[in-house]
This record gives sequence, C-alpha cells and structure tokens, in this order.
Amino acid sequence: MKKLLALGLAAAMTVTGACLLASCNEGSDDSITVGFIALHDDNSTYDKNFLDAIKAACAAKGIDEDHLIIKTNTPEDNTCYDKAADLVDQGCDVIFADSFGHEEFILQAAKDFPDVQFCHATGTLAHTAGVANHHNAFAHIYQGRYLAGVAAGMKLVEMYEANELEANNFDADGNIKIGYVGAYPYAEVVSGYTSFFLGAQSVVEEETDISVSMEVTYTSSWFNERAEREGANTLISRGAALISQHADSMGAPSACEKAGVPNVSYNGSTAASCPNTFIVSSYVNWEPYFEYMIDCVMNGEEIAADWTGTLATESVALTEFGAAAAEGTAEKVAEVRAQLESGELHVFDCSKFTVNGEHLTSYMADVDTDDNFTPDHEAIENGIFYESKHRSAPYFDVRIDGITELSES
Amino acid sequence: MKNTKEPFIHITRREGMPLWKGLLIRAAAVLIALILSDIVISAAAPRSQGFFGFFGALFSGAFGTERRIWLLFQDTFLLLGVAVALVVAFKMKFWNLGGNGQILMGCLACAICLKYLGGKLPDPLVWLIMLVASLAAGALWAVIPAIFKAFFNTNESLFTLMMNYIAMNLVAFFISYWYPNGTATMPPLTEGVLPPLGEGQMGKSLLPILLFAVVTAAIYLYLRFSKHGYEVALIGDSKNTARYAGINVKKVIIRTLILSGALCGLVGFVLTGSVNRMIHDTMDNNMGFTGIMVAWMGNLDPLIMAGVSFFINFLTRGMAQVCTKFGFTSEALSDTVVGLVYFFFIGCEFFIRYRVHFAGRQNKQRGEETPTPPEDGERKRAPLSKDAGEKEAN
Amino acid sequence: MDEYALQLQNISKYFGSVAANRNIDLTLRKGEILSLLGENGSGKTTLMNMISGIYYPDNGRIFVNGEEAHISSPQDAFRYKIGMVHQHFKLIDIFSAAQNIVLGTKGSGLARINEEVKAIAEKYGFEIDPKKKIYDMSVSEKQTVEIVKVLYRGADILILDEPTAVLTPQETEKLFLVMRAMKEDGKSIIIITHKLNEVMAISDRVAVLRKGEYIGCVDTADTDPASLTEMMVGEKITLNISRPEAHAERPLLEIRDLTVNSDEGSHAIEKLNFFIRGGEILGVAGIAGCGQRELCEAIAGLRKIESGGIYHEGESIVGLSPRAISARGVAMSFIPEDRLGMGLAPSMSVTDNMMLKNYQDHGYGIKPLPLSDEDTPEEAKKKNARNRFTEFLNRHCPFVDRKKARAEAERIIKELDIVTPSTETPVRRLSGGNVQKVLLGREILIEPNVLITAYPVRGLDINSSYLIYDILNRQKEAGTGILFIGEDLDVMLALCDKIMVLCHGKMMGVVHAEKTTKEQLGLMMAGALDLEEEKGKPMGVAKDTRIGEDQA
Repeated sequence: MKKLLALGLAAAMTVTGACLLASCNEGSDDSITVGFIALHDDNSTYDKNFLDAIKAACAAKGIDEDHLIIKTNTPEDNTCYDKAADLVDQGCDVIFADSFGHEEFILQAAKDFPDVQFCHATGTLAHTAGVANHHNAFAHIYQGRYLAGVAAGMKLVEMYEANELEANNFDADGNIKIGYVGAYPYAEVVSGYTSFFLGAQSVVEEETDISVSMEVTYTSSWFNERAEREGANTLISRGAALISQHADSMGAPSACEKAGVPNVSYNGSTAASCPNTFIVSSYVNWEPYFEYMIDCVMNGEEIAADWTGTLATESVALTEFGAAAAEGTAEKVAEVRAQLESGELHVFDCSKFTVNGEHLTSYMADVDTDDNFTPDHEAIENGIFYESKHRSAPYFDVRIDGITELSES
Repeated sequence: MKNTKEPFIHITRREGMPLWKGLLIRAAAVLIALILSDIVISAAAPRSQGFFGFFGALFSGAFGTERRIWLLFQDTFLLLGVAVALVVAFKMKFWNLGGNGQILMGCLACAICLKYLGGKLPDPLVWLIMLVASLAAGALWAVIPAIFKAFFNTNESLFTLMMNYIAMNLVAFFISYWYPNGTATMPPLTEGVLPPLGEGQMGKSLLPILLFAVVTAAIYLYLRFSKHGYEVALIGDSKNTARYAGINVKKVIIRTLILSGALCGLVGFVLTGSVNRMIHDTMDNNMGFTGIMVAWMGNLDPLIMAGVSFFINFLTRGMAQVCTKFGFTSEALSDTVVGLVYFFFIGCEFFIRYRVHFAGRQNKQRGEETPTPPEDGERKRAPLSKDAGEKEAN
Repeated sequence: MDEYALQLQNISKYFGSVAANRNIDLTLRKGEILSLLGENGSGKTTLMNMISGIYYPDNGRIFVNGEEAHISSPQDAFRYKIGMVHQHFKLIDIFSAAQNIVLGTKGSGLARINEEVKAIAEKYGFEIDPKKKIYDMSVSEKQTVEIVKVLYRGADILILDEPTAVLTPQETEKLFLVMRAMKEDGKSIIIITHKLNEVMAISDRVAVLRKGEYIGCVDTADTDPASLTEMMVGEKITLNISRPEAHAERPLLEIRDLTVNSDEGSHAIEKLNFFIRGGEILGVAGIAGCGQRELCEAIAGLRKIESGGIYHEGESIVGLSPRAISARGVAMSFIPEDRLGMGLAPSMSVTDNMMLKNYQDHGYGIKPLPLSDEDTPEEAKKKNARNRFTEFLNRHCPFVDRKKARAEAERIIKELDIVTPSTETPVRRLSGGNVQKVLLGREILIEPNVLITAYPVRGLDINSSYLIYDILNRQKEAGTGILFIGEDLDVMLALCDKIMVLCHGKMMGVVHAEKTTKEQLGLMMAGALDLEEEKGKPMGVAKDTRIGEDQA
C-alpha cells in the first residue's frame, strides 16, 4: 500500500511539473492575433461556414494556427462578453463574433477595450452606436438566394414539362407549390425567402404560363433538427414540390432526401448526404471580409462600420450544382448573375411583386433598431427596394402576395 | 449427481473503509479517467500539444489569467448555490429534479421586474422587489410538486422534471412577447440591474461568490443545528418514525421545498440581475442537473460539495481551453471527458463498497480483516467421524 | 462415510470483519432429526443458508452423502436434494398452492400436479388443498405448502428454519407428527430453533452454536434443558423470569368497544374491551396479524379509530396528537420485524434518536432566575419580567439542544448496559439487542405511567432478554401499567400477570397467567375457544375483564 502511495505521489508531482513547464510558452512576436467566437461548433452549417472561412483567410494572410484562437459554443448571453474579454487577455488584436444575439455583448466589450477591434456578423448597431472599434458585416445574400431560386425554378419547369408533378403540387390557382423552412419571422429570414421565391417565380413565369406559390413554416430556433425535419415533412405533405430552408441543421435536407423532393440548401453543399435531391446552395463567403478585416488591422486602417459583401467581392456565392439540378441550370444562373452584377436586374423590383394586390411605391424600414421597432428609413427608390443599403444586415420584412406563412410558432 | 463448478468470482461487502483510503481510490479513479482522455485526445487532436500539454491546457484554462480565476470561482459558487438548494430537499429524500425550472423562474421574475420597474422606481427598491419576486417564483415552482406529493403522493421526480419544460417555454414566450421581431434573444437591460462590487472582473464576480458562500454556510447550520433541519433529516431517514415523533410530514415537505425552490430562485436572481442582465431559455446552463451530481458526489455535505463544484468547474473550463488549443472545434469533447470522469468516479464506488474474491484463493487466510482464529483451533479441525457419543462439550 | 447425509467441515463465513460462522463442523445422519440450537445471533440461519445455496462459504467443505459438493445457488442445492423451508415464506399470494409448488420446475400439466401433491400429502399426513390460493390460507397452511414444495422437488434433506415461531401449540403438534412421518420414510431433517422444550420433544440429536462457533453435539436422550442452555450461553443461568406481586391499582388505560381498521380497510380490531391497571403486566397473545400492531398504533395516536373509546386516567385521548398522548405519560415501544422501521431513525445517532419525542421543547437552556425572600418588590418584579422573557425565548428557540440529548443518551447507555462506540454512532450500526435497548430506554426516560411494548425481545440473546424483563418488572413495581405484546408463550406465561388473547381482532378472553395453560391459549389464539361467549366463569378467567360500574 505504501509503495502505491509513493508511486502515486511521484506521478502527481511529475505531471504537475510538466504542466507548469508546458503552459509557460505563450510566445509573442509581431504577427497579429485573431480571435473568433462561434455560436455553436462545426456541427452547425452556419458556424462551419464561418470557421472554414476564417481558417482559410488566416492561412492566406500568413497567420499561423497559434495566432488564431477559436472559442465555440458561446451562448448569446454574458458568456460572450467573458469570452471576448478572455480573448483580449490573450492578446487578440481583432475579435469576430458570428451570431446576431452576440452583438450587445460585443458592443460592451468594444467599449471596455478600445484598443481591440470587434467585428460582428448580421448585427445592426454599429452604424448608430458610435463606438469606433465596433463594426458590423454581412453580404447581399439575397442575391445569392435569388440565384438559388432561379436554379429551383429551372428544376420546377423541368418537372412540370416532364409531367412529374402530382395534383397536390398545384395550388388552387394552378401554381406550383414550393415550401420553405424558416427559423424566426423577422427581416433576415423574410428577405431570404422572398428573394428565393422571386428567383423561382421569374423562371417559372418566363418558361410556362403558370406561376409559383410558397408556404413558409417557422421552427423558432436556428438549430433544431427535429423541428426542421417536421417542418419540411409538413410542407411536403401539403404538396410542396421543392423545399428550401434557412436553418442550420440537416433536418430539412435529410427529410427531402427521404421523400425524394428536391432541396435547395443554405450555407453549404449537402450533396454528400443528399445526393439525389440536392440542387444547389447559396452561402455567404466570409473569406473576402476576413481578409479585408485582417488587412485593416495589420495596416492600422479603419474597418468599415457596415461592410456588405456583393457578388463582385465574391462574398455571395453558390456551391456546385447537385445531380438533381435541371439541365441548363448552370448557364441560366450565370446569365442572371451577370444581369445582377451589371445592375440590369434587381431582386426586389417592386414591379415584380405585389402586397395585397398593389405594387409598393414606398416603405419605411426599421433600420436603426430600437425597442419599438420604429420604421425610420425610406427603402424604396425608383421602384426598387434597396436591401442592405443603409446597413449591412437585411431589413426587408415585407410579406408579399404568393407567400403564405403557415404558423407563427 | 452432477458436480457444480465453484463460482469463479464472488463478491462480499466490505465493512467499512478508512477515510484516507476511500479518498485515495476516488482520486485515483479521476486521475485514471483524465489520463485515458489525455492519451486519446493528444493522439487524435488536429493540433496536439502532447500528453503534458493536455494538463497544461487544463490548468491554464482554469487558472491562466486573473479573469479566468474569478470566473472559475463565480461558476463554482453559482453551482454550489444550486447544489445546496437541492440538498435541502434531498436530505428529505424528496428528489427535486426541477432545479433548472426553478432557476429559470427566478430569472424570469427578475427580468420582469427589471423590464417594467427598472428606471421607474429608485434602484434599491427595484432590487428589493426583484429579490422577493425571484425567491417567490422559485419557491412557487418547487412547492407545486411538493403539494401534490404531500397530499396525493404523486411522483416528485417526474413532476419537477415536467415543470422544467413549462418554465423554459414560459421564458421563450416572454421573450417573443417583448421582442416579436427578433430571434428569441433579448439585449441586456441597463436600468435597475445590480451594480458590480468593485472594479473589473472581480467586481462582477464578487456578488455571486460572497452571496453563495454565505448561503452555503447558513444552510449547513440550518440543516445541522435547527429543529427544522432535524425534522428534515428524520423524515428522510424514516417517515414512520417522523410521524411517531409528532411531525406533520405534509407541512414539513411543503416548507422544505419552498426553501429549496427559493434558493434556486436566488441563483436566478443573480444570473439575471447581475451576471447576464437578460434572459434566455437555457440560462440555467443545466445547473439543475449538474447540481445533482455535486450534491451526490459531495455526499450531501456542504464542505465536500464546495470541493466537488470547484473540481467540476475546473474541469469544464480547463477542457474548453484544451479544445481551443488542440484544435477541436466541437465542445462535445469537453462534455465527454467530464462524463468519463463521472463514470470512473461512480464506478470506483463499487470497489470501495465491495471486495472481489477469485476462486482458488478460498482457503487462504485473508490479511487484516480476519479476526485471530481461536487458540483451540486444533480441536475444530479434527476429522468428524468421532462425534457419535460426544457428550457435553464445554 | 456413507452414514452421513450431510457433513460440514471447517465452514466459515464472514461479513466484513464479523464472523457469522467460524470453523464449524456438523454432521447429519440419514433418517434423523437434528436440532440446530442457538440463541439469536449465533449463526444458525447463516449456516443453513450456505447449505441451501444462498451464501457461499468463505472456507471449508461440504459433503453430501459422502461426495464433496459445491453449492452456489438454490438450484444446486436442489440437485443435491437439499430443500429449505425459510422463516419468511417465499410464496406468491395470488397463485394457488399447486402453482407455487411447481414454480421454477420443468412441469407437467397442472392436473397431474394436483394428484402428485395429494399423494405426497397423504404419505406424510399433511392436509393441503392444492387449488386453494395462498392469500386465503392461514400461516400453518402456508408452511405446509412450503414443505410440500420442497418434497415435490425430491428433497431428502430438509431444513426447517424456526417453523414453530408462527404456530399455535396445536399446530406445532401437528407439524411434529408430520416430521416423524418423514423421518420414518428415510428423510433427514434439520430443525433450527431456540425453543428448548421443542428440541426435547422432537429431535434425536442437538447441535449447539454459540456466537458463530460450534460448541458440540449431544443425543437428546442424554441431555436436559439446563445443560443445553449452558451450552448455548456458556454459563449456568437460571431460566426463571421473576414475577413480582402485582398491586391492584386503578385502571390507567381503558379501551371500550374499540374498532380500528387496517390499511386495507378491513377491521383489524373489533369491539375490543379491556383495561390496563397500574403495576400490572397485561400480555397480548395472538398469531401474527391478529391486530396487535393496529392496537398499538391506535393507542399511541398514530392511527385513526373507527369507533369506540380510549381513556387515559379517565379522559378520552382519542384524536389527540401523538405528542400530546406522549406528554400524558403513555409510552410505546414497538419493535417491528425489521427492527428499525418505527420509533428509531436508523441513520441518525443515538443522541439524535433520544430527542425524538422532546426536541420541540428544546430551548436555549437559559435558566430562570430564582426568586428569594430577600428581594425587594422592585427586584422581584424585574426578575419576573426577565424570567418571562427567557421563557419566551426558550419556547421559540429554533435550535435543537444536543447537549441535553447527549446527557440522556449517556444515562440510558449506562443504565441499560448498551454496547455502542459512542453516543454519536448511527443506530443501525448497533447490534439488534442494543437497538431495542435504546428504544425501550428512550420510552422509559419519560417516566411513563402506561407502557406499551411489542416484541421487545425479538431477536435478542438470552442475557439481553432477561435484562429487558428486569426493566419491565422494575417499571411494574414503580406502578406503571404495561401492555406486553409478545410471541413466545412460555415467556408470557412467566412474566405477565394476565394474558389477553386476540384472534382476528376479536378478544377471545383474558386469563390469569398462573391459572392457564399453553393449550388453552393455543385454542384461543386459533379461535377455537372463545371465553367471552362462555356462560358462567370457567377456570382461569380473570374476573375484571369487563369494565363494570365498580371502578376501584
């Protein structure tokens, strides 16, 4: 017994000694240090998108792995502040947080640590808060959604002409039904599904004499596999011929694969797990922003308060087309893309949609967030609703005709 | 007649074990769990820092900076507060599994006060109302199952568990009511929140640390020295005996659960009033369940529970750093290691309580546990054919 | 070597550091009845459990019919044709006798079972109805089922563990007849018992165990109860329970037409009438489940009564809380089968158990200031005011006073010779006898005037039992009225002044202990003799069984 005790003590002492030695080598040099705060981890398509981009950006800019500190599973509460502060303690020069609910805490951290840059995706406060080291970023993702919608429209036309659609795939007016699984009923999601719808609608109306209609269901969560799967199944059982989503798990795509219904994904290709039904996915490519962000910090330049990536900056991107995509999709999408880039075509063209039967001529959007959501900016100019112009995060929350929200759960 | 085999292994209960030996076995179990995890992690990590780097990262994650140390103690005392709240009920063998819900109700009550009264009434008054509301909300959440148990003998484990879900959905409801165009998040409130007790991280962490240190000491005294505590222990030990002593068991159950729930509500008060200043539906951070582990592993003794809470938080915070340093972007690993430690800790209880015997060593004398055999052993081992006609033996 | 049906060589069994059996040699000849005699706690049941496969020995060897046997489960035991009838029956209530008998065997159809069972019964003289459900059976019928179960499986060696504990004297006689018949048939039987007269009546040889060790084995014909006791206890002791003269005092506790329901709703006690005088021990005899427990609980205030009255010193105590009843001096000590179920908290210390009944009265321990004649009116008024204040404080003190309780604990430990490492030891670590002494000691501490004690010597060794009898006698001499509920008729006949017999909750009669016989008691317990209904006054019936107008 005594021998065991002695052995145990010796082992404990060795381990402690080694640990102390091992922890004593936080080197410092002249590379900048980048900190990253993720909402979940790489099991969520949302975060994985960001994580892949920051790793690629750091590699491109010559920042080694020791100078990129990643903290995952950060809930949207004070833990975010604590992690941000901890990153500052570890010598970060710039810190990025990826979820909407992180913003208030990042803002607080920005106020407390004025020498460090804080960047935040999908946030809305930077342009009014007046804190110099707090910045927002997003992209014109609605354009990507529109293009994905075009691909969806091509598929719908193909199915229609091949008589693959069934009776319940048409609504009462004879339009093809599609479905969309959304998370929360607010601007970012509404903007996404509306642009998707408009893209699909443009192709179907162009190639046939019918149109599309869309049903939307909300899951009240960014990541809830079961709810998303059930949402997709509900829409399919109500006759959706195609499904898209704004949700972070594999729930909806896998439901579509099982039911054999084509799926347009978000934030990454699901071709590997859904080979038969994956058409395409739009996503925000954060690499350009991250490289911009790192450059500014390295050169001591000011980062923009609101940075919105475009097709031109390659911030808005589509994945490879899947096996389910219709023939000629790639060409069509490239064609529409060129039109968007040149300014010839606008996604939120008010002549292309109606609200309660009328075309909009004016709309006050709530751009400067306040507790009462007071609309403050006129968003429509010359018949075009300019999304993401006054701030990077979307503010199109108009409910247009042709789209029905199923449940406000 | 078939011969049956001697059993290969058979198990006997140990009588008792000296304290130091038991502690050593438990410490060894934990260490083995950590070493095993270390071996697997440092072998499979994308950016392995090596075997000793694992322990380095563990310690650095827990103690590396001043901020980390304060946060470690803050988390320790919050968890300890929950565990103490649960112990009050557990001593009575009332399995209060509703800690999460009770904490959330405390958070919610506090949030409601902040939202509607913050800035409109003088701050100290708001704090007082918040405190009372949080205690009452937590107590209410615990007392409803208690009443049903006392009068209808419903199963309290199930009932308290179900109340957790109700609380979670209530919180979600309020958030979506206050912020309908949002993503189920709310910004931190600024009016009426509890002030920090000093500068920097220390200022923010001191309130939970001091408050729950005092609460732990108070509950310890309550359970050990007060008449109420005596009644609680008695009911937990033998309900019949408690009735015989004239205790109104129903009344005591309800009274005790009010206390248990109120203490959880107090944790919610601190979480919403000071630490986060807002609320979301998983703000309890599962402390209601981790608290059960702390209470059990701490043998329902507040001092040991403090140590256990400290160790669990040390491990959790340390593992987060390990994940970061070793290049894991999934923190499920952290939970796995903590789970493995629990598993080994619980498993070693078997070896503390029982001794395993292997066949073939049956007839050997066993060391320190056999009392000395009688001196006249010779007589007893003589062959037995001679008992015929044996008269009175003395 | 083939002489022996069963042979144990150097068998030991340890539970932790406690040696339940140590180096035991035992033999059982073919076709004999061997009594295994020993006090409670001597290791008899443990030894037999090893033969029947419930435990596995730590040391030693077992030989069955000359061959070495390894018995590691009851199935193995049956393979060796060993069958045990346990003290606590292992029967399934909702099955019939036949179904229980074939339980676990690869059976034939039920019809054949009934025939086979009837055949066994006739061979040995049992009375058994194979189709009857267990819950309809009396205790002795259940025991019969257990024995037939064992015989059905072909047992040649039977072990009966305390079979007569639950039987009336008449039933015991019947059992002995059956045992002799089985012996005639060549079966070998071990009967575990601690009752000397039964040992003398039925067995061929007696093996004696004491404190886990084998003392020796004698032929019954060559011994007598005194020598056997000496072997069991290790010293010569007198077997007499003294019975001091009872003074006839006024009745302290009167029970009138009491009806109490059991937990299932049936009448546990029906229209019971009796009273307990001070300075007298009234015994209550009856088979298990005759209502004793419900009677105790009703008197102590733990169970609601359906109708009737309970009067203590003339005042009704029905509906009072247990505390209030206890405050009047009515003490109850009930030792249930698991010994720690009621009255004591097993995990709490002796000290904590001592304050069970009076902890609510604990105060800060501030003593009042004594008034003296030399105080001026001013000073007296001040002192009074201060005393009222301290009394108020003491009454509302939220803390328990363990010092006081510890002192009480030390007192009874000394007076009753309780063996415990300290006053803070959890009660469940004490051995059975000491637990019962703690319980009785606590009840006596309040200086009761009525003491109800149920099974106070259950499971105790002889010395402890006699100590308890002494305590009871001393209480009796001090004027306490004692209600003694017990299971050993011999003890009750020696100790009690009067004995009341209950059968299914009804009173069968109250008799003077010195004028009655075990047979008469046995008949009453079985319900075959009801003295209440007898016209006139047969011999032995106590005159004052009814409450008359002439109260003393």
